[in-house]
Amino acid sequence: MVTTQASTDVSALLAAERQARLAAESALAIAKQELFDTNVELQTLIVGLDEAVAGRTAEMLAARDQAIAADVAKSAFLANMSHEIRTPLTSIIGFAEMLLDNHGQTSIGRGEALSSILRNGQHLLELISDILDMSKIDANGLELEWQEVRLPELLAEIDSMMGPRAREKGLQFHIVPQLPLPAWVPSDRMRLMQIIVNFCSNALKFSDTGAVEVEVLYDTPTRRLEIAVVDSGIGMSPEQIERLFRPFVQADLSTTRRFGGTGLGLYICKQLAQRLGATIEVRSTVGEGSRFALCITLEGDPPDVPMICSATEFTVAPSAPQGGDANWVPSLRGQILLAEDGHYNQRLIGALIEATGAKLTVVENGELAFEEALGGDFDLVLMDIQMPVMDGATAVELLRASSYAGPIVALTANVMRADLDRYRLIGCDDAVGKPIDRRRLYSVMSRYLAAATEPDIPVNVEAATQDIMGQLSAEFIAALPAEIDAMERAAAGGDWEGLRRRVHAMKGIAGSLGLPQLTRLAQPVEAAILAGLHPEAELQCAMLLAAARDVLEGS
Amino acid sequence: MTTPDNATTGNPEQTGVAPRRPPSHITGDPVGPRIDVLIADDTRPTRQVLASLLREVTSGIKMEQADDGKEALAAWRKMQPRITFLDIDMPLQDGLSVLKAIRKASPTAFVAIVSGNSSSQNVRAALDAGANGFVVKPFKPQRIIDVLERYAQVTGHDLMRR
Repeated sequence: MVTTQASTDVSALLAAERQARLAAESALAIAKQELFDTNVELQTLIVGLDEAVAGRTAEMLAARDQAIAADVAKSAFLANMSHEIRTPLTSIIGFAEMLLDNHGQTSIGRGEALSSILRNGQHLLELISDILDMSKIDANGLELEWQEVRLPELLAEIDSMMGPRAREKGLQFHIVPQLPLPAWVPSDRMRLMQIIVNFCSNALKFSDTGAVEVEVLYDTPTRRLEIAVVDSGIGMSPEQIERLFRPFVQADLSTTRRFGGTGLGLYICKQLAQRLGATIEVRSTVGEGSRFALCITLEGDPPDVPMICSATEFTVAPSAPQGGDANWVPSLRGQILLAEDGHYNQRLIGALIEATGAKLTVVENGELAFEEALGGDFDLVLMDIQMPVMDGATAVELLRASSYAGPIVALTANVMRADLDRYRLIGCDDAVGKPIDRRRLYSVMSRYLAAATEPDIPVNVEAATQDIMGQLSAEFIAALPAEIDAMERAAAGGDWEGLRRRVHAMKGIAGSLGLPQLTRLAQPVEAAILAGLHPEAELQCAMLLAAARDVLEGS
Repeated sequence: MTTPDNATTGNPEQTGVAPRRPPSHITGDPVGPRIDVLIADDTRPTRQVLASLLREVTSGIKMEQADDGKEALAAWRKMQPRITFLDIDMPLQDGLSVLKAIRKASPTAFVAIVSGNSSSQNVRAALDAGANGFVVKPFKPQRIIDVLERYAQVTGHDLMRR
């Protein structure tokens, strides 16, 4: 009984114990599962973190590589630029020293030395323009002047600019318009020219024989205009084409040595094209030549641009003398005031102006420029901006404040767009860059002096004014004997204020009546009286009166 | 016939300016609104050349002349001209002080100096005193036309005969 009782107790205990163990095992399993899950989660997180870290690291590495690549490219560019700048400078300095040392006698000849200096100087200028242009584009500082750019004129100008250069090299140059074409495209004329001229320059540079052609085609359904420059030059491989439009890189580094150039031209072209809403397409075969096309899709509906359908409407003048021929000198009439303090620039620009037949007056500072311009009768004022005593900008501002409205063109070494805007703002009509490009100078002169021969005011007004002048001049001469007597009496009687009044009046009017000599001679009399130098005044007055008597005798 | 002010109605340069005295000497003139112009210079030929030139190139102006500084200022006060051509070197009162007096009375009066002294100092003094233009004697017709064109720019009123 006891035994049975005892065994029952034990088995109950065992059962309870098993129960408890099972519960514990179950709890353990759950906990283990939880732990496992957590672990898995943790693992996932760790992997994710690793991936994130790896990703970031890769990004950083890529950024670093890019920065290094850009840095390397810039360093390469700077090294290249340094070389590019030093090479022409070496020639310029070398030839200049040679000419100085040997009193103009050099082994290669004076002309050749001088033209080498000129060529290298021009190259440096081109280089600097490119660099400035590029930094401007990079800084997003490029301002466009949208306008209707007429195609016939644009192509004629390209022809006149590039034609002579092609023929100089023994190449043919043709503009091939495929009609019909739109009469104009909306664009920035100067920038559009820059792109096409760059294409043409490259084409000429890399072609030794054959022809360079500018094809112009228009696809009416897609409204796509294509201006393509085709050459028969050395051509490029696809890899070279791919690298063409990167900054600082030429198709091949050795081309820099062989063909010169800054390696910036096409990069600038591409940026400009983008800004103009155009694209550039290049096709090329090594050894056969290249084709660079600027593609512009005309927008706006309905098409409001008139079409040119006949060749007569689209006469591309063959190498018009304007702009094309470096030796072209226009024949001009009129008076030019040149304000320029540099002795050599005075002589150089002065000689260029006098070659046209225009009359030249030269002054060497802004104050004289101001006084001459305001008191003179000039058809055009060429104003150096940086000058002593009074700078050109101040002189222009003063002239405009005095309501002087004649044309004023700034002469300046700073010809970036922002500078030009500033000159316009202070009242200049245009600007010519220094060093002076004679074709540019002549084209500006032709604009204003040609206009000067066409009357700004109606012809009858001019004629009528002439009549009045003639009439008053007769009156003046009729009154002159009495005036001479009165002046003599005043001088003899010591009535200096009375004399000054009369002299002053004569000074003010005689010039207007065709007697400038009296105005000129009256000036020192008045000055002497004002200064209290009476004997001097008497002497000067005698000269004035003698001239006045000459007028009477001559009339 | 209206007062000359109609000519520049809506021009911001002129707003806020007291209405011009109704010009009795103009009343009854059948031609239309006229612009008063004062020419102050002590030499008769200069006044004559300037007046003839203005007659030729403009339409709708009425001119008065003064031959010394005091008379110039008195005439200006009396007629309140739209445009004044003012010599500097004049008897009794010099043009610069006349200009200053005019400027004090009217910030918008249009005054062009016509002087034989073209030194930049002299021009600066005139501009600082408020001159709207400066023409050097002996003057070329174009310089006077420049002044009239500046007047047109400033007031929107073109006096030129086209």
